[in-house]
Amino acid sequence: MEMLHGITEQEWLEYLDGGLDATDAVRLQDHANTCAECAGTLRELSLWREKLVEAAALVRSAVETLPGDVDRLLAESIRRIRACEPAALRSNPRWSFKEAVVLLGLLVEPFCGPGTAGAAIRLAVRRSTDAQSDVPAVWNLFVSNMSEMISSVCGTEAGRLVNQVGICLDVAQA
Amino acid sequence: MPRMITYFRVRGCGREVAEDLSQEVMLAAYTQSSRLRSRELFRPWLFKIARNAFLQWLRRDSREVETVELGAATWQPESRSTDPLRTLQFAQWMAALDSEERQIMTLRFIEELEYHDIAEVLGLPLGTVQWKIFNSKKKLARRFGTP
Repeated sequence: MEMLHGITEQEWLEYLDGGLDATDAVRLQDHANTCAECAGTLRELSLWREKLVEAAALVRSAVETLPGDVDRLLAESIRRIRACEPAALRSNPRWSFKEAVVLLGLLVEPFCGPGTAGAAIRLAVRRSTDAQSDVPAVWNLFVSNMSEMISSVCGTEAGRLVNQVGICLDVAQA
Repeated sequence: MPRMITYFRVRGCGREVAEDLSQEVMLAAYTQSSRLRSRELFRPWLFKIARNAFLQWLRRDSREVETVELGAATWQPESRSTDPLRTLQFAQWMAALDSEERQIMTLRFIEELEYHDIAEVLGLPLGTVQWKIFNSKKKLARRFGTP
């Protein structure tokens, strides 16, 4: 890292991103208040950061995927995933509630870790079985609860994946 | 999934190719999920898979690998006259940077990855990523000015 007046590029970037602690932030701001060269660097970096953020948002909106397309593509992805699963799984598409819960747990575990996956499953089972008695209805509620929790922990795309996989599983009465 | 499609679209893939590659990424993520080291690395891990898928597509399509990842040629108006992306300011700025700078700046501003995630995706030291971002902004300021 190159250093100018005792301040590195990393520190300037972190200052602009709000990542510096208060003491260092004050040190940089104080320095910029008295040093024309560094004030110029700070102004330039700050301005280009804003410009790039705005321009990148325009790029994203230009290639935005419509919600309908997202659903279609997720369904197609799940079809592909199922197609590459072992034949034994494909030939037995009906699942008991317990089997389906375990399967969904295995799906989310690599993303959120065994602890979180286990906790999310326990909570989702508790919330779902309290309210319904019909197995498919309990399953749908379970998937909805799991999706919501995984969304909050791992992000909306992971939650959406849980939902899409969950609704594809044919969960039958025991 | 939408972020994956955006990833491929901004790198010059048409909509159908971007959708197809996004599905390849989802499938690869599913089949390779046991290789994910920790939950915190999920996003960079996914973008690493996307990057590999994109490079494979370039090779399959016999494109010029030297200009990958928002290469200048990708953004030249004559190369994709029907692509609305070419008219965007961001594209013009990226064309002024070198290949590695483009990769880093695109992952930072389009994909909105944190510095350490970019370092993970590209296999670079964190300090190098930060230094490149700093220098890229300086380069843009010199080239396009600072009002």
